Amino acid sequence: MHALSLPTWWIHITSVLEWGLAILAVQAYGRLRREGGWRWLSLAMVPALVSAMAACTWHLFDNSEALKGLVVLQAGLTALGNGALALAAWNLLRLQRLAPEDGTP
Amino acid sequence: MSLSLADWFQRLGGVDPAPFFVLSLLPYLAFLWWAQKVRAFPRLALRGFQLTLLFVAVTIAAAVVAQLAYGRQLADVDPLHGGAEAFLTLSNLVVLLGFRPRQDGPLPGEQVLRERGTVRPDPEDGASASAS
Repeated sequence: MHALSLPTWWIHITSVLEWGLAILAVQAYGRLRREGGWRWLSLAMVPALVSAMAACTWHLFDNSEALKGLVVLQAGLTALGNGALALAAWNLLRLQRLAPEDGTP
Repeated sequence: MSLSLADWFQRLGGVDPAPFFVLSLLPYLAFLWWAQKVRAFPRLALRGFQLTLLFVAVTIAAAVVAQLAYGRQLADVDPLHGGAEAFLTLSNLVVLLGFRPRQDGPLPGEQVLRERGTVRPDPEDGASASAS
C-alpha cells in the first residue's frame, strides 16, 4: 500500500466518502420533495462508487500489474454508471414535463 | 464453461481500459445536458458534476506528464496522482453540498415542483426563521 503517500490516500478516501454521502443526500432530497426520480438518480450513482472501490483496491496492492483487471473493471463501471446517470437525468426531465405547471389544484 | 473466475479476471486484465474511459464521457455529457434542464436540480450540485469534467481534463494532462517526464503510469507518480485526484475530492464535495438539506427556501432561479395537495411550510414561520 506504499505506492500512494498518506496525503494521496486521504484524497482518495475523502472522494469516496463524499460520493457515498452524496448518494444518501440525493435520497433525502427526493424524500423531502416527494419526487421518486431522485431515488433513481441515487441508484445511478452506485456504479461509480463500486468503480472507485475497485480503483482503491488496485492502489492498495501497489498498482499491481497482475491486478490490472481491477482497472478494466473501474473503466467498465464508469461507462455503465455514466449511462445510468444519463438515464436518471432524462427520467427526472420526463417527470418534470409530466408534472402540472404549478401545484395548485 | 470451464473458465474460472480467476481466469476470467486474468483475461480482463488484458483488455485496454482506455476506450471505456473515453466512451464514458459521452453519456456523462448527456447526463449534464439533461440534468441542467431539470429545474429542481440544485444548481450547486450541477456545478459539482460539471467540475468532474475539470478533474477528467486534469487527470489526462497529469497522465501525459507522468508518461513523458517519468515514463510511468499516473498512479505510480504520487504527487501528480494525488494532485489530479484532489480535483475529484473538490467536485464531489460540491455535489454533496449541493444536495445538503436546506432550512431556507429554494435558491434563486430554482422552481419548486409540488405534488397536488402537498403543503410546504411557509418560510415566514417560526421554525424556519429560527434556522436562519
